[in-house]
Amino acid sequence: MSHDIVSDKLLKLNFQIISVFLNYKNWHEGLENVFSLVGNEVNVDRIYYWDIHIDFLTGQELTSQRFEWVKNGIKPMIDNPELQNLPIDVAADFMTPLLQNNPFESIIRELSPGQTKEILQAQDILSILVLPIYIDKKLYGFIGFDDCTKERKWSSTELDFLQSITSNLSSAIQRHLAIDRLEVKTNELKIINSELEQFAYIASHDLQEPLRMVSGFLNLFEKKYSNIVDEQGKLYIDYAVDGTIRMKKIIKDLLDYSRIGKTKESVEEFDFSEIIDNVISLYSDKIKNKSAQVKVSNSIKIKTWRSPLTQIIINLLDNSLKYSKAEVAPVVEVFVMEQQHHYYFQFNDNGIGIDERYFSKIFVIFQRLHTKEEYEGSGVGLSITKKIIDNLGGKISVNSDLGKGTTFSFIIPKLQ
Amino acid sequence: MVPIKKKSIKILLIEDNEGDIILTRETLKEGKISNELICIKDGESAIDFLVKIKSFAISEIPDLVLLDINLPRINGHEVMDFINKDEILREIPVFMLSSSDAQKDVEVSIKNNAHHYLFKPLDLDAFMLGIGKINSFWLNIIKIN
Repeated sequence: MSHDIVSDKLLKLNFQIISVFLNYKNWHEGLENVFSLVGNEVNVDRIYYWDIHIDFLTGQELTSQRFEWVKNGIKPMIDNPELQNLPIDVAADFMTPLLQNNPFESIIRELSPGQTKEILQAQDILSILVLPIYIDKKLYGFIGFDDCTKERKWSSTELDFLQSITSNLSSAIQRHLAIDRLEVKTNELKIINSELEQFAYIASHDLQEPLRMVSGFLNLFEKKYSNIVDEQGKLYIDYAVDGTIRMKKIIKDLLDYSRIGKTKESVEEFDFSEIIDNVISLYSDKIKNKSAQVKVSNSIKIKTWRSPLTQIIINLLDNSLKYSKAEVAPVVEVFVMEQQHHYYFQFNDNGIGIDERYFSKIFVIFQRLHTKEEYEGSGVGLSITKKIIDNLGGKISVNSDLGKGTTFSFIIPKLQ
Repeated sequence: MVPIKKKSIKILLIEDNEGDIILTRETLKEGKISNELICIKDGESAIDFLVKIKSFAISEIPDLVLLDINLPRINGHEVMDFINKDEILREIPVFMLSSSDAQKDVEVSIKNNAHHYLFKPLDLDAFMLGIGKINSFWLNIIKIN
């Protein structure tokens, strides 16, 4: 066989091996497959993978054999307890080059007497080649190739091939480590997020208690002793009472915000007009007071959770009514449409509008664009709306002409 | 049926917060509701009290229980559950007092047959509304003129 044909075959095999590594979710499974492909090709008796690990009882760095492929008729070593949990400094001749990211290649007979020679001879090895897997600048593991039938010198083609396998394995391991790390991070974020929500709930819930005392006793004081304090004193009490009222509202909003997504309601199919009619009748007083008009041009059948969608509609309608122009009767137009993968909703109003500069700010919790005197509110309404939509897997977007009106559009994905 | 004239009604307030006790007392005073207010500060003692009074002085059984949900050791829901399971005690109207509008608290209270659910601090109008729902003979006579 000519040299070129060999390297051509090895090249093909290398491609095959890369695809094995790419395909396997778990690189361990890929390894067994790769070992048998390689073993048959380069004519060795054993191929094995060892990794470096830490014994948490002693803090010691150890190395153990994890996977092995053996040719027919060769004695497997995978169950040999002598080849498990060896301290990494045990066979210095063997480990030192690996720890420095160099291969270890040897004909066992030529080794000077010592631990390395004993360990290798005990496995009937005549020739050995071991390649380090170096990740993050340290030894992560190694792959070994044993010849138990002859003393051999590896050709440079074989060496290149085995090196490239090892480096492919090393990439595969790194890729999986990165994915693992990402998963760990994602989980950490999930935990932090739920802890934050829990925190917001507990904080706001527990804040109510002392606040109730402050407002309760302020009210009592006002009732019983307002005749004995002067005007200045009454003013102070007014300010304090006003403060407690606003704080109560903020705490309530915070509680509402932290409770989003905690209902265990089931999915229903209903007509959109049912929801909008309910909301309109719920807000009939407010609509009448503002001489507002709510125009609903159409309706579709929707399958989702009823109460979050209702809450979104309430918040958007409330927002339109609140930020209406003083001199113009508010008109809110609602439009709904079914698409392939989602439902689309649009709310148009003829209110004061929002400056484009503030589009990104309006969904931020406690972000207000107006003073208390202009428009009351704690700045939670739209952030709650966004959070509900996020929770449903949807998206909300705003568009507005300052002084002309605002359009809120949102989508909710259809449930499969 | 001729109502038995009572001078005042006996209210058992189960509440651990000193401030809320004072506020409740003031609200009842403000509503000119002639009452004898017994305060017990935790669920365990409240149950002990009810058990004792049931066996020794049935006439002393309170006409109304105001029961805070958030109590140390044995909470209001557990006290309510106990009252509800006792054939004699379950006749007493119980108003649950809560500092939250947590859906869960309201649901549990309804499940336990609480007569009414009130937010703290006790609001006189809400309290009177609750009283109005009790179908009991002493209702007509609780107000001092």
